[in-house]
Amino acid sequence: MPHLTTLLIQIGVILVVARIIGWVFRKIHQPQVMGEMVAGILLGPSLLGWVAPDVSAALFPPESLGFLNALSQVGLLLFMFLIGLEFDPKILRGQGHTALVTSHVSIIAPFFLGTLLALYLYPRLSDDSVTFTSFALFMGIAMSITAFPVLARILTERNMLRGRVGTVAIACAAVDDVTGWCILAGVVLVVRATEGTVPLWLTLFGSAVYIVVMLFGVRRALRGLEVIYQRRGKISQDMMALIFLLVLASGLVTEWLGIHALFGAFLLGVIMPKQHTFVHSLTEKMEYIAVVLLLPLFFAFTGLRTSIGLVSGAEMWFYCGLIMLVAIAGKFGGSTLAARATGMPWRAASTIGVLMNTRGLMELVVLNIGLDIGVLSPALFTMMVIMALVTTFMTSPLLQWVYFRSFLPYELATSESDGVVTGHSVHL
Amino acid sequence: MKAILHYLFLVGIPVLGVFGLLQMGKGITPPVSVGGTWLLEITPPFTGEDTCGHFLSWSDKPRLMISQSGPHLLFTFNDKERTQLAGKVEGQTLSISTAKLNLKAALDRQVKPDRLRGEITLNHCSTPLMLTATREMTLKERSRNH
Repeated sequence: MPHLTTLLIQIGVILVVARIIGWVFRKIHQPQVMGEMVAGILLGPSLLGWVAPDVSAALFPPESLGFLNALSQVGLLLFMFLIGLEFDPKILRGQGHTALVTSHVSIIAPFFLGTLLALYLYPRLSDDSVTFTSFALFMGIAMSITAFPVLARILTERNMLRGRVGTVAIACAAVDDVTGWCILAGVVLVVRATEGTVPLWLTLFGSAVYIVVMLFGVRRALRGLEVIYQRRGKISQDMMALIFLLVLASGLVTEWLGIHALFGAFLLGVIMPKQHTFVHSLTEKMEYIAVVLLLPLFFAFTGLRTSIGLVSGAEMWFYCGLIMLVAIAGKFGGSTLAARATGMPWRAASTIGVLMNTRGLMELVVLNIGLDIGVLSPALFTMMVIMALVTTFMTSPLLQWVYFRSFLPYELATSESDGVVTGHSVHL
Repeated sequence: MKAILHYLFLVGIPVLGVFGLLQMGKGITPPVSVGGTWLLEITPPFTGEDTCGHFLSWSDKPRLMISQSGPHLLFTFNDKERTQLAGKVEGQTLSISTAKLNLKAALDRQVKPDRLRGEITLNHCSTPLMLTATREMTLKERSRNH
């Protein structure tokens, strides 16, 4: 089959399966994106390739995957821009101490446990082409990720953004996002520096210059976009083209510097003007392409790289269980303890823990980077994908149990007396 | 003050712990890297048409793709059936031990690109086949190219 025909059929099949599975997941009170992630796995060797290898080989011939990957990477670039765009420092207002401590502990606790686990897994699931430092740092960061968009979606759908727990959770997730991606950039830098792909001094110096230019130069210039938007009342096609160009340029610079194109797109989103209607309008224009069309391609591509068959035998499933245990203990345990230490009641603190344990698609982004730069072996990648799916899936039922049955009556009572009602809108 | 103490205790100590763990792990030796694509040479030339090895028959240049996760290996031959077999690496030796086929090969990293030298024994076949494989691409390079 010609490549274009194959690609069009692939996109069609992926979209249909993603929408159907997404719908099924919505019916069982799971976020749509969770269903789309599972749809990707089902289209890969774990199910389709296993039950119908001929269909799988015809639908996803290896030589066609480059095109699918390229499209999914463009989608991911736009999506990371939207994630950065969602970051609004106003979320942190009034949450400072609790959000900062809880968020940083929710990163460092799983990071520490991930590094500890690396001591055990390195000789069992890696090889000498990867240094221990790279492996351990990557295990650490992969355990630490929180899915801001999935979390935001859950909080919005359940109307939790008007309560204290919801606002602290969204603030923590926002801080987590920025901190997590900065650490990941550092980890990628360390890994690539050991390989000598780009000289370390060039990456460090270039990154510093790039960040300064973005924060103090480009950010100011971008305010002009907001002014034009307010004057015209809409985002014109020229403005959209300029924004797309800036996303691509920023991604290109960070890729060239050796810290991955996604960071460039994310940082551009972070420094964009945060006026509510502008962000809303921009998100609306971009998300149909990025989230509805291209993101399912990324999930499918991830699914094609995930082979549950590689996790075979009691030994491999033991490693997988251990990864899950460490991930949950680090993220849920760390966030809960930190929230409690900053004065939240136990039930509220454990709700924060449940929410922060949501890894979702952001984990898949990190894991794909790990596989691309060769730090994760195929079996370990699969185990981590399973961990991401399980930790995301468990959020909704646990939330129902911890928050709605146990804590909500208490929060409603205290919110009324304290007058804690905050509003933060989530666009994605 | 209390907030700073909280932060130092809850964040500072684990950060120091991470540095300690990174130091501890530097002495760990992982298995050798054999993952990637290997170009196979089998002598005498193996066509797959004889009774010895009817299940391995190539239409293209014989290649072997090794997917590695620690000592666990998954060998995928590019024969018509795309035969997949599980194996392992111990020290510098790769092995497959199945009812269909036994393979034992030693890794030579002194030459560039890396070489594998060993033999394949097929079931119901008394004479082993000699195997030489040259590394075309490591797993890292393969991931990047994809």
